[in-house]
Amino acid sequence: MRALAIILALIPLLIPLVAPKSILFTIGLLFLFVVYVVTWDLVAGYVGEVNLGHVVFVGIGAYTSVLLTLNGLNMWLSILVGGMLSTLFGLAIGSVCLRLRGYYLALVTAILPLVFIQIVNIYPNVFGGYEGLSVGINNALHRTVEGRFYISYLFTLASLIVIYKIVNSKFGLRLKAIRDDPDLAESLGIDVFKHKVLAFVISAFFSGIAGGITAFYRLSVGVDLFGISLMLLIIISAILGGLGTYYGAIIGAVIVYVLKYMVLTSFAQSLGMAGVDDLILYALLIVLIYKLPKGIFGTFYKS
Amino acid sequence: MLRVEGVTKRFGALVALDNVTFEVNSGRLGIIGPNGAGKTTLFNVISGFLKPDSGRIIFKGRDITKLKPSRIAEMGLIRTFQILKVFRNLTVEENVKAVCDDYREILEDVGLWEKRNVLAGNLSQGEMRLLGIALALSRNPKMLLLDEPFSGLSPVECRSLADYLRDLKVPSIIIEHKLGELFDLVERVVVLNFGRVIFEGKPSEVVENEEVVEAYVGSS
Repeated sequence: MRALAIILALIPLLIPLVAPKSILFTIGLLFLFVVYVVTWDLVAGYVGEVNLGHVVFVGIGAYTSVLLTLNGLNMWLSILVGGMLSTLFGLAIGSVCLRLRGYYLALVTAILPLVFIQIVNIYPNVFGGYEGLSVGINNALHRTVEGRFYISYLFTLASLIVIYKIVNSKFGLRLKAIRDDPDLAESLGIDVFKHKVLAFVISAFFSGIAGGITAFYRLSVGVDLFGISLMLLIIISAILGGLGTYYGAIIGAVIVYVLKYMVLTSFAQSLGMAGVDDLILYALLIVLIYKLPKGIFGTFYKS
Repeated sequence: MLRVEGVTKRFGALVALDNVTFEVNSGRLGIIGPNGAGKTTLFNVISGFLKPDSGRIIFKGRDITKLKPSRIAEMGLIRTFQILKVFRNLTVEENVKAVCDDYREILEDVGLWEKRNVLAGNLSQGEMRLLGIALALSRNPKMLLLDEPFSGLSPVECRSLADYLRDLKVPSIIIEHKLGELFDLVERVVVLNFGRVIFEGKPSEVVENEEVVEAYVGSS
């Protein structure tokens, strides 16, 4: 499995040699989407806590880094600050909501994307309102699409390696133990609250950085990065691939992203019915929950 | 080592524990009583899962009443659960690995080494019970609180577990309905009824105590 993963991880390096620029651009965004999904799954799949506001981490990272860069701060530093702000926000939400058992995290985080979309619209001269902010090619990750593609790839690879190490560490094992039975874990000296918060904060950091990279990759930041539509794509991907299986989140993210942006969107356009693509995806989610609750990886791969 | 001082716990109008006091320093103490007498509530209070309305729990000279369960476990006071609790989606080996590093010895001791790669959720009831005890032991406990360790076990499994527990030098408090197994194992017994301690003494004395017999079978 590991050797296969390494080979698969190297293939994207060849894509710029064969793919046209528009496809290349989309694949670079797909990489970043993989990071959103894997970091969401770290909390949902490994800890068993559902964060419905994961896009807020992405959005905080994106808006913060763009605003700082537009005000003269170095881009890389801005992205780092964006990631840290995202982390602090995660710490604040996590240390309140993860203290209690039950649906509290899901309830609180479900509202967050709406709150942030409102804030962006209430202060359009700061956040650019619905149209968002343009980054400008001079502030891009790299002037060429190929350059940005490689940066996105390297960041994604680095994040995936770190998350892989985390889920396969003793800490990762304890997260899975907590997911299975928090009372038993607590009774054996595992501080459930601290472990949950730490996982949540790690998830917030990487998705915040991914948000910043996304903005400087596509040269704009907008409310779509806070959007419920993006949140649902993340959830569908993780469930399709298999919650808490690591590789599942990656496989699911690739399939769903390709389906959405390379197949369904043009299909919907050809029909002249906008929104059909989303409807098909949501229908897929419902079918999945009934027919393949363990996801692709959880069903077909037995360790 | 462990002192329970005047612990009272109420759930609304129900007094689940009523001024319970006892002490365990070494050896094994059995706790018995009819259903609903407050035995599991007592374990939940000692292990920090429930906070008492009044009274204190002292462990190794320290007041642990307000500590969270994981802190109490770190101090070496480990409890098991009446309902079967294992990490079901982890293998037997991963279960113990999540808690301690030297899992091999513990799994060999309880006879689960051969099953180390089996998902814990696929074990038989008896094996799960053993894994639960292995998990408790993997924390290297200074004192064990065992909540009905024999329930769901076959007579053969009961005997081997009893032998195993007898060889353990860890001071323990054991809740058990199977009085035969329990009385062979413990030096002292505390009887709870309606949340109150109604008897404390040797196992041989329990069966002769009128109040205890009455609590179990009703007054004649």
